[in-house]
Amino acid sequence: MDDVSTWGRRRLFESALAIGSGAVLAACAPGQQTGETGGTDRPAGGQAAGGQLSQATLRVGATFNPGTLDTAVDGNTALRVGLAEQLFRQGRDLKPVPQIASGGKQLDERTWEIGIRSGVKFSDGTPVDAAAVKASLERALDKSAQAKTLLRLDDIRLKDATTLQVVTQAPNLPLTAILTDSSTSIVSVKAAEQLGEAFANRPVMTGPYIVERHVTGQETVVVRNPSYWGSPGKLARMVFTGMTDNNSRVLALQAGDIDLAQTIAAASVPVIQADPRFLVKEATSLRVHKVFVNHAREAWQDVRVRQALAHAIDREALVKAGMSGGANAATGALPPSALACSGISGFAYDVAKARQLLAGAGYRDADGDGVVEKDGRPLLATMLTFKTRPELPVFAEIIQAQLRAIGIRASIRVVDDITAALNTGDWDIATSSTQTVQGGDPLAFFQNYMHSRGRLNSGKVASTRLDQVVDQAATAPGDRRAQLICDASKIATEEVAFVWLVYPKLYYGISKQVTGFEPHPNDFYFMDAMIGKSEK
Amino acid sequence: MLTYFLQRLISLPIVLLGVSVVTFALMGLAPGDPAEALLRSQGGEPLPEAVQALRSELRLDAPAPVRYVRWLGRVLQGDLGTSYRSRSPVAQELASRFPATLQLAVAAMLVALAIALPAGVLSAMRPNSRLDLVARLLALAGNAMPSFWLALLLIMLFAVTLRWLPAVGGGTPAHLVLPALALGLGVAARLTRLLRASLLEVLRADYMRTAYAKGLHERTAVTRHALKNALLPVVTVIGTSFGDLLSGAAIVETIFAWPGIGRYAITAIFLRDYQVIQGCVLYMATAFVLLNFLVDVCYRWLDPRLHFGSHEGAR
Repeated sequence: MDDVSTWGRRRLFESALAIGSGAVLAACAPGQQTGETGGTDRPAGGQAAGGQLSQATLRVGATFNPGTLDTAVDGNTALRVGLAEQLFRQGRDLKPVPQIASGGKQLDERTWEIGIRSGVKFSDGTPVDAAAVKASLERALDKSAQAKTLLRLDDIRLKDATTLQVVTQAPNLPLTAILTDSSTSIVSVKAAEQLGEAFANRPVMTGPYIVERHVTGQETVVVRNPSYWGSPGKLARMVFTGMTDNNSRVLALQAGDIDLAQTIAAASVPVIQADPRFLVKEATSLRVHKVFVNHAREAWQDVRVRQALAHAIDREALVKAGMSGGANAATGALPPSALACSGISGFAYDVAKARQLLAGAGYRDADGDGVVEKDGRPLLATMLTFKTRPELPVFAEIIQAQLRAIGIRASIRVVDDITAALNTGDWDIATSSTQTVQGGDPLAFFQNYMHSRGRLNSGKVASTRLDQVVDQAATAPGDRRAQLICDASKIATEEVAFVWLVYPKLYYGISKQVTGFEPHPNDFYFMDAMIGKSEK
Repeated sequence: MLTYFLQRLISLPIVLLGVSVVTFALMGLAPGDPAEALLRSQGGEPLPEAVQALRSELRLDAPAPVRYVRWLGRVLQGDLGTSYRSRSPVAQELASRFPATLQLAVAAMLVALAIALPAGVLSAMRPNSRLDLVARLLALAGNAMPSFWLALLLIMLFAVTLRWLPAVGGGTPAHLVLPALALGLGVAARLTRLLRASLLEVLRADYMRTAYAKGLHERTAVTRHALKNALLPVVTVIGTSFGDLLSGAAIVETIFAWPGIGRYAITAIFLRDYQVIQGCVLYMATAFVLLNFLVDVCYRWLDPRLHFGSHEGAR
């Protein structure tokens, strides 16, 4: 016991030191500064009162089958189970918060200086310094397709033992946000080289937990990292079992097999809530379900027709019938969890207004068949949808009925590969879903989907206004960037680049024994060092 | 016997070659790109250049026939390739999942036989009795009920309500009970109906009348003379059912989070992990060919009149 409390005090002292040195760096830093030191969002973890570490085991029913733990192949599992840490971490507002870094400041348009927190150690006890971080980032850039795409770097230089200088290819890249991505997790390259292939099952990283047992595709068991640099994780052990079926997770929770069911379906929420042993925690995800509109087709080039489409859809009906209430009606491109923008009110469900807009665009039902025409051509729409997200085909059917009310006849085509189908251009509208935040930054969503040169702009959105704002945002510093992204969301909404439908929610079913669980909008962070379990 | 065994052994590679060509072609026809599916599964909205980079890294940019020949070349050297997702060898991943699948398959088959043999025999011996009626009704229900539905009902009853057994997962014998029941009950239903029908037919045969005429007890007559003959068609179904079970019960394994080959194959199909899919298919085809061979051996044991090589005469 004595050992433990001495150890805890030392840890506390070191953490304080780390926080202190971070604050100094932050205070001295000129230019752009991201996040502050060990802030409120850092998983400060902690010890049970009295200095005794909890012996509790948390059993998690995971939506994912645990994959490789080598973050340079796929970083998601290692991040989700508490093994991996990055230089920065996404706070609850998604802003990057220093984690292994003590801070990051921008020296000029392309150069950043990143301090490494002192006292950080790998799980094998070796210290993490600037050279180790450099080696880890270089390994990620060498091996990970994801890191290569996100982290476009010209150079990584060692300034001193605890400071890196990083030069980006493009000006004003949101580097600290990108460095939250799991593919950039800091690993011990020395251990990776020594262990070879075994590293994928027994990685040496810096997180509050270390691997006890890992079976790819089945189960990952992690235990408290005894040489964790921060205050220790609150649990002795966590067991993550891949349960890809929603019913299985819910039943396993009810049966007492697990303490936490990751993302349960909205339809299962009342069942869990009715049971006094459990709680349901919710968060808004970073997704938006949306309708692609084919701007290349003549009928949809008229903004009034697109606005009519946006007014014709009853989003509350989608939330109720398609998602059992597990979503909020969307107003702009971004859910508030991704970026809170004011002044975007979206489109109210208003059939009369929609009809009026169509009439204004020259569409009327002259032959009385219920479908509006212009120049003798009826307004027909081929609507694509796909089944991977089960609510999307349901959405398509509801939208089909709602469009009929304003005289648009939509026919639904269910496809297997939505990306390929969209690329053919042979469609009018399509239901789909997008993760709006990539590498901690929502700008890429606009650049890829809504910029006229966007690489995923299969709807051929072409708006000069939108292009300008998106281009400005790409090179704008800090807060200005956020404002410009909000402007882009506003324009994209007003001009109906897409029809925004709903922001889905995330639900977690947890046993009341679980403590300190507050879901993060990014479900990769659903677990952190704050989670504990009372030993009743 | 030896000749027959050799013949079968020679046919195995031919079957495997055929199966692998068909799978490869089907995967090529199916929509979806492995590189994109993989990047998407990592939580991103994959950009075309990232997809392209991964495609060339995974050597997916070569034409399908070239990829097939490359794959075949490696397989002939005993290398089933590497999973796109986990980057570990497919053979190793298959081997690590095989024990769980074998365990479940054997347990489910034991459940099936433990129910079907007595139920089928008793039903046939007392046709249209109350016992027969109940057995037939249950068999009908078992045939009609999809295994995933049965699985959820079993979990509700035994794990959630009664708390006797764990709901999902693996590791202890208790974990095996529910999935084995979910799979075994369906097979039991099929076997019961088949055994009953087959035994009824045999019981009407002349040699059975002779057996009774020479004063044999009903029990002896049925077990010594009727059952062996009635088992011929049943053995075939046992063989194919066991093949199904060994191929992994994708849905039941998914529901019970059972770490077997079915779940492995399903995940691979969703991710378009071609190497894994091919590996799974080869394994499944091998299992079927070997089981067919075993079924043939059983035939000969049950009915010595049948000769290997001319087993067309078998019922």
